[in-house]
Amino acid sequence: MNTLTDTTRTALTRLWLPVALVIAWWVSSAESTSLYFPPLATIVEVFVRDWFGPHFTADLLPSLGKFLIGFTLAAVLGITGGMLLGMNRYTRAAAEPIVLFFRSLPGPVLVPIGIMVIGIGAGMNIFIMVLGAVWPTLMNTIDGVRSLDLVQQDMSRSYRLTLTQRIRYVVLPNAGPQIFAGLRTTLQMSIILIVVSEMVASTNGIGFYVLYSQQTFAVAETWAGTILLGVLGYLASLLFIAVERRVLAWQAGITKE
Amino acid sequence: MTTTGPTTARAPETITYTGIESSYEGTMLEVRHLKKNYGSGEKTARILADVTFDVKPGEFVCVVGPSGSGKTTLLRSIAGLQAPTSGEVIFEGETVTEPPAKMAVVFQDYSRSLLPWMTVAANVELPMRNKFDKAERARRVEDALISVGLAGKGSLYPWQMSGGMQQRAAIARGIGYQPDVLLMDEPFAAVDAQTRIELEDLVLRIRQAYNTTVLFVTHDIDEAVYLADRVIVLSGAPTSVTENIVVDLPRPRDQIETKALPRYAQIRNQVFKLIQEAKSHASVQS
Amino acid sequence: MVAADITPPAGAPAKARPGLPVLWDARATDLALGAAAVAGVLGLWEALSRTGVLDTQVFPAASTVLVELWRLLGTGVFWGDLWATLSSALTGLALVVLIGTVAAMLIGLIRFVENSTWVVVEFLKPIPPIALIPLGLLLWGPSPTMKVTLITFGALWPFLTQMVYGIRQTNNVALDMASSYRLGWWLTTTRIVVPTLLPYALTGLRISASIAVIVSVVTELIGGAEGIGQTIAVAQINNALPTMYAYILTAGLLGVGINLVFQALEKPLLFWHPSQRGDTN
Repeated sequence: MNTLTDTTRTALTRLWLPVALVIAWWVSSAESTSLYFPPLATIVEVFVRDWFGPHFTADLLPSLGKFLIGFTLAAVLGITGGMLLGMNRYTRAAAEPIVLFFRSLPGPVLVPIGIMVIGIGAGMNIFIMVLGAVWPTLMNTIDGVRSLDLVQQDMSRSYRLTLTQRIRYVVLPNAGPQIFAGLRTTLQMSIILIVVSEMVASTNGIGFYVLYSQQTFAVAETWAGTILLGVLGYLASLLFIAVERRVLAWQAGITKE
Repeated sequence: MTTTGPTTARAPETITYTGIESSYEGTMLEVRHLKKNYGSGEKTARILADVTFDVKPGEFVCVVGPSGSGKTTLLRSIAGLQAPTSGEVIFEGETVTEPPAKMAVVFQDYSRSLLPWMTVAANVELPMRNKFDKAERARRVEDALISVGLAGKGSLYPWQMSGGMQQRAAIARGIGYQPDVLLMDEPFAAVDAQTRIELEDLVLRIRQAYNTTVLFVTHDIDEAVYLADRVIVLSGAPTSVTENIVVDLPRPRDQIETKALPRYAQIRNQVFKLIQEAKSHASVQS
Repeated sequence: MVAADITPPAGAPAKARPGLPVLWDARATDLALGAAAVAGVLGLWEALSRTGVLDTQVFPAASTVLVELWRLLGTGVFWGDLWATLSSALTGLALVVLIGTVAAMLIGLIRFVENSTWVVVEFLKPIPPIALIPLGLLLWGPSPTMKVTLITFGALWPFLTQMVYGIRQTNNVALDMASSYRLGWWLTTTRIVVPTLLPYALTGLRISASIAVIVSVVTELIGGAEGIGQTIAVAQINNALPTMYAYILTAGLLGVGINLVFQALEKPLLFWHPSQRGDTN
């Protein structure tokens, strides 16, 4: 058996189930008159009408914009804060219980505070994302900075690396794998928070669209919005993994050797 | 880019193969009554009791001692990585309080001291960033890699290399830093016997080419006698200097010829006896 | 050897590191620092509210919130809410363990199942469970069924992924050893398969548990199912701020508590595992 047929076989075994599921959904719902399960054809039609139509600029772009700003802020704050707190034993120990508390707090419970402090709108959505999603990255960065190898510390000191050089060439890359593990959770948390905060405190965005559709019993719209959120979550995760592979290529190399 | 310390004739075109030439005249390194304890009160662990010795410019000095004799503690104190309890280390006339700019350390554990996220060239280049501009660094990295036999291997990552090659890279980083003294902490303890022999000869060649003063810590008696101009024998912990033995073997040394000399066997046996005594003494004491 | 060189003689604490005080000292200091920082934050909050820097219409004083929390601890409503949140999370988790274990065995042991489900699993995994709340509300209304379904969907993936890793691990060296020593079915299962799986299962379960709590609270917050989340939303609307903050504090402490429970579980069960052997260097 040559490798080509092998790959084709794997591809086929991987693809038959999703294809079958979609077809099954399509066929079984085709004649559906159920209020809750509209025909898939209708859902697709609504999806194309809305998301390749007016809602692309009205809801999708604002959501993406808020998400990008919020996630970037959470990541940057988490990493810099983690570096500052993690490099010193005492600040690290002092920060630990507080960080643990916020890390364990289900982020969405902060939404009511956000509404009171900032009100409804994009600023509040971003504020909630940062406040709720920064903690995993912060905590993992602290851990990553602490895990610096004793020999690497000696090396940096004996070759008289400056503080900036130590951070840039030694501490930060060493903490890289842990930082990325934290960022992954921050990413998932940001998505959750942007959706939740749009649901309850926004007048646009995908979250708003989905919850509004549900409340007005626009069932096909609810399905279409949910599918869009699923696809976006999937794409974000793919993008993240690609970036992680690139940045941490050295680590993959070590484990392979 | 700032240049720290006196500029010395170190470029390959000015290599001198005979005699001793250094930026510093007089004693290069003085270790005076070095004492180091860990902990305090009843729990005090006395590691170094009283260690005193000198290293002259251009000299190759090996420090040997039984295991547990505080060799690494001694080296970290000399390198300015930790403060002694009392006593002092004087390097080029100045008391060491922090790692000196003209001193480089080659660590025992190359797999940890080389940064796995950087290529070998970047690892060698890293400490030069505070000394030379970009073009100069590139040239010096190239030279350092050639002199350790890693020409053309700069773009590899450490983990793509064998242990011996990694330690060569660590040595290249040390000499690329242009130190007056190269401190080596059991650098070949983790490589296989064949590689070890190659690396010993490499260190001798490099020392010749760069005229670097070398302080080499090892537990291997043969290695110490083969490499050194002088062997300093340590006692067991709490450690002091037992003996200072001049190795008057001819240079250049050769793994077969030198080790076949009667004089080599004589010195080797002398060191061996001293270490055995130190060991039994230490075990009686504790 | 480095280790030999810096190991102090008998009688000295084995873990003393150069330049650092003895270890238990360091731990006590760390705990004291942490406690001081918590007290400091609470004190600062109190001071800022009292002096009016923080608007008490938005941030009531820390003492007010703590007193309210103390009062709530004596009420049945509070424990009812806590139980509503927790019981849904636990029911969801139980389903996760059940579904996850069966699915992981099928995926981990049968090549065809693994390949067939790969695309579906990889697609479903990153979907935020929150996205399904409107759909869940549409189908089941603000009921426990809706909560438990969404919790199960959201919390399944970490456990499933870890279990598949774990099952792949048991397939390796240890099983060869077992068959070469003819250990038999019972010994192989109890002495090799379970101990190998356990660390993966516990890690997965820990991550799944915190997701379960989050989803549980959010379905209450948005969907209006009974529990902590709903009370927070209601308290905010009624401007009962001390109650709202007391419940938010409770939600955080619940998360911390779940973390601690899993740490406590991992200690005795995984005493042999490298992560538990406590080389705190």
